[in-house]
Amino acid sequence: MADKNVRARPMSSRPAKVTVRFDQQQRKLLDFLRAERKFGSEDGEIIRNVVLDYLKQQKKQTK
Amino acid sequence: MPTLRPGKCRFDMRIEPVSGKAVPVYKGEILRIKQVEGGQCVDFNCFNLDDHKEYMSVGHMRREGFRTAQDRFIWSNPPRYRPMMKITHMPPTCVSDLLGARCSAVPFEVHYGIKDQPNCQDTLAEAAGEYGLTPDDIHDSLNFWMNTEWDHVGSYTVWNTGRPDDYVDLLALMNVLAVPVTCGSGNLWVTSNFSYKPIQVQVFEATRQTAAAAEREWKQNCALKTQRTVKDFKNKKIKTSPELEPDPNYKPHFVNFPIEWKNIEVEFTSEQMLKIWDYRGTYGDTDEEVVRTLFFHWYLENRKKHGLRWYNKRQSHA
Repeated sequence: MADKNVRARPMSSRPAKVTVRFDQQQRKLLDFLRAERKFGSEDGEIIRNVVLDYLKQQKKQTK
Repeated sequence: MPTLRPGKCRFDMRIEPVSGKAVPVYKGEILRIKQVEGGQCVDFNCFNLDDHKEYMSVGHMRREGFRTAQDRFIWSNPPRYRPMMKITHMPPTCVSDLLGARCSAVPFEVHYGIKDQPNCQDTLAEAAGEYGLTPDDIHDSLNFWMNTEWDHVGSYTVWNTGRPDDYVDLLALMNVLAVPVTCGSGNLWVTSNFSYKPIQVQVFEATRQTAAAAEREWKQNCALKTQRTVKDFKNKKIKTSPELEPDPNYKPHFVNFPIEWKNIEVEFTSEQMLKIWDYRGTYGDTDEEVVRTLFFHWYLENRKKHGLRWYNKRQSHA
């Protein structure tokens, strides 16, 4: 019987696409970040880079 | 802000127990509320003297913490949300309260069977009545010298720590009608240590220094487009009849309605996805929820502007 405490994991090592719904107000924040030219130009690119930066920050904090 | 030296005292009144006084305080003037014997809770209302539909919003002050403190503002009700006064002096023995609303006659009838107990709602209404305001115009109080504490159930009051001659100074940033009253529940509740005491209320004229400070604070804290006043209202007419009836021709214009959604594809490597999955259950149940939540957590922690006035960083995810 599977251990309920073990979270499911992807079966194979392959890239994943996540579709995220943003409303127009949320997209204004993407526009602000786009203007900074630090996180990319496409919406998906900006979200990915911000999420990865957050994960990096969290890793630093837990060290 | 440097220590402000009040000008000449133009109003000086001892407020006896279970009474109060509505006092105009003009921009640049300082209102002083002072303990006489100590241990007396003071309930406080504040209205824009030039437009009483603008008044202190205790609820919005509460967003900055359950107590207010020296150097904080008396904020008015949104959509105006403007600084009405600044607390320029408050000793540590003056514990302030933004949770207790104001006492009224009803609990005393319920708890004690007393139907004529003095209370802050009625005292505030009687004091403000001098300026044509009705009991319905009275709003929740900022309570000075009210030692409220709270736990997971709610708030409760403990022994009043106010000392004789303790005082609070409030610098007017607009013309206001200030209404300080001695709390009426303090003889039957611990609010004023089960005994009424008088307070002293004074108003000091503006000096060049206090007028300049008031103007500076006003400019610094009243320059936002979203601090809207009557000139920005679609309906500027003040309703005078008590009945509420629908206007058949009315069309609401909700802000940014309808919401326009956009689906955005975000690519991650499987290694990155594994790290994202660690947040499942705490930051959302689906990949979409987790990715969106991680994005906004980053934004709130790295780009949100944290002015002195709104929230501290700890509250940034609120």
